[in-house]
Amino acid sequence: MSLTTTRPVRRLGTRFLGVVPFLVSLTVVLVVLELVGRTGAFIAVPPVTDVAARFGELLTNGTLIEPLRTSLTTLGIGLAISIGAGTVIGLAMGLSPTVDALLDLYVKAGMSAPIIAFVPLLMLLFGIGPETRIATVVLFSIWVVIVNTSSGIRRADPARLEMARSFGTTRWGVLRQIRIVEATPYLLEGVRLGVARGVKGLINGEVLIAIVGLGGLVKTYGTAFSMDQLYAVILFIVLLALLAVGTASAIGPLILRHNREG
Amino acid sequence: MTEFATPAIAIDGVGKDYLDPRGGPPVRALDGVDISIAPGEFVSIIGPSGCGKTTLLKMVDGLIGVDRGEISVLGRRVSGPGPERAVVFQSFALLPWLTVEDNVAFGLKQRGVAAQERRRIAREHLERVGLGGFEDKHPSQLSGGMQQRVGLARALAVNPSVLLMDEPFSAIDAQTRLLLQSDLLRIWADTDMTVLFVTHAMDEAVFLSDRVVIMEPRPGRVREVLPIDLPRPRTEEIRSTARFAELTSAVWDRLRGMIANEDAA
Ligand SMILES: Nc1ncnc2c1ncn2[C@@H]1O[C@H](COP(=O)(O)OP(=O)(O)OP(=O)(O)O)[C@@H](O)[C@H]1O
Ligand SMILES: [Mg+2]
Repeated sequence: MSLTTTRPVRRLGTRFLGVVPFLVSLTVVLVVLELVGRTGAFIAVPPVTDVAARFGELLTNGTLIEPLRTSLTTLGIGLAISIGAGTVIGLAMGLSPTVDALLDLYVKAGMSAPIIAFVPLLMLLFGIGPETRIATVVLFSIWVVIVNTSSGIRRADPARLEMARSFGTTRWGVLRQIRIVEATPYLLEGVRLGVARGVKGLINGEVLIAIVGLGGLVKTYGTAFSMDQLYAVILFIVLLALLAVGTASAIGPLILRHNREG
Repeated sequence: MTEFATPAIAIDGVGKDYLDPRGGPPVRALDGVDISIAPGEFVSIIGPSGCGKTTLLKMVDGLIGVDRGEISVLGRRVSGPGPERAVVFQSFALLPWLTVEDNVAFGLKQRGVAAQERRRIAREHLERVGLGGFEDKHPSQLSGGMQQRVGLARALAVNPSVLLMDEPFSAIDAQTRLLLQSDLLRIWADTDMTVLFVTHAMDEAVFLSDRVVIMEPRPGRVREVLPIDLPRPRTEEIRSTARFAELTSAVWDRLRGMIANEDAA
């Protein structure tokens, strides 16, 4: 009785305690960076307070508006293509051993290949317009969506599939009512990882291809050795990536809404 | 054996070979199996592991095809699963993300029965298997015995003429199992369903069946068909009668030889 009442409290307490070491280390790192930055000995290490001030300016002075619009558009289109096409390709591979045999090698290669090396090729194909940046986002993010979809689809319990067939469920019905439901955690994980990789692709593309968007700001400040502004933008990008992944994690379950108790 | 105009299940010279996944010669899973089951009859199949019981049951359901011979259900040749047949699975095969009621309604949904009607029928059958009031629970909240009651209700809900059961109670503890056997007989007695029941338990086969088909392995064949002349309705008391013990040991006599051979081989 007392055990059941104290348990949630203790768990909350443990979770809070778990954050403490991180907060301590963060404080130490920030203080050290600030002290080193104040000496002005290293150009690469501006004072933390300066970075924070630039970050504040960045958010309020309108510098971000245009780059952010460009970047989010590229990211949105790229991710829509990756998640849409990746899911379809993943479903086909998960359902058909023939399609799987045809594509598996390319997907594995895509997962591990240094995509950045293909950017010049993409520029040849698409020029230096937004298409190349979108293609970069796609090439960074699509593979993990494909792999998670296909392996999720293959995980369905054979006994449940047989049960459905016995009750006369159509192929489409089996996919919708059983395979996709059982694959849901994998599909969501694929989307989360895809979004994170897509943000990486976005910034890489913007830095390498055309000086636009958030990546463009990185390039501009970096070339000018304006370190406090550079770090402020990077901080913003990291927070944006976390927000994008968080959004994907929150929206995913709403789309793939099943009561997955038990 | 009695002759019937149209058997509920007619298994006629049926054979099945499986390709060896490691590339050896094909495994002769079943060969020359003839079984004829009358409408409303309760028949059990018993035999050593690997003698092809599951294979035969799946072929009657149409989940896998025959390589030789022919299977007919209610006079119609089986070419795939059909609405007059339903299966109760050894592993229950429930969908854990659905409520008990939605699990029971699964087969109805596949047949395009409207939601309101599905709900009504599902509740009726949950009542029938003794799970009234559990509609909104999820399978994981139920014991194994109760989960298989859900599996049974799901099969009954589509109102099958032929019920196929593959070791449905083998994963359930011994005491609960006895209750399930009695409940199954009670439910069956209220219908004109034909039941084909695969089991490893000799007492279960004897308690439930009109006839027990004893199979032998390699290749899977029918060794003998044993009529069970115990009176119906069968109550718990019948388990302690001399005739029950005789019939159970008669089944064991036939099986013992095969299992002893197995051990020696
Ligand atoms: N998909 C398959 N591929 C290859 N061989 C198979 C396959 N399914 C079954 N077999 C083989 O066919 C034979 C009959 O199998 P089956 O599962 O029908 O036996 P069973 O009587 O149900 O056994 P148990 O009592 O263990 O359930 C066995 O030798 C088995 O190894
Ligand atoms: Mg079996």
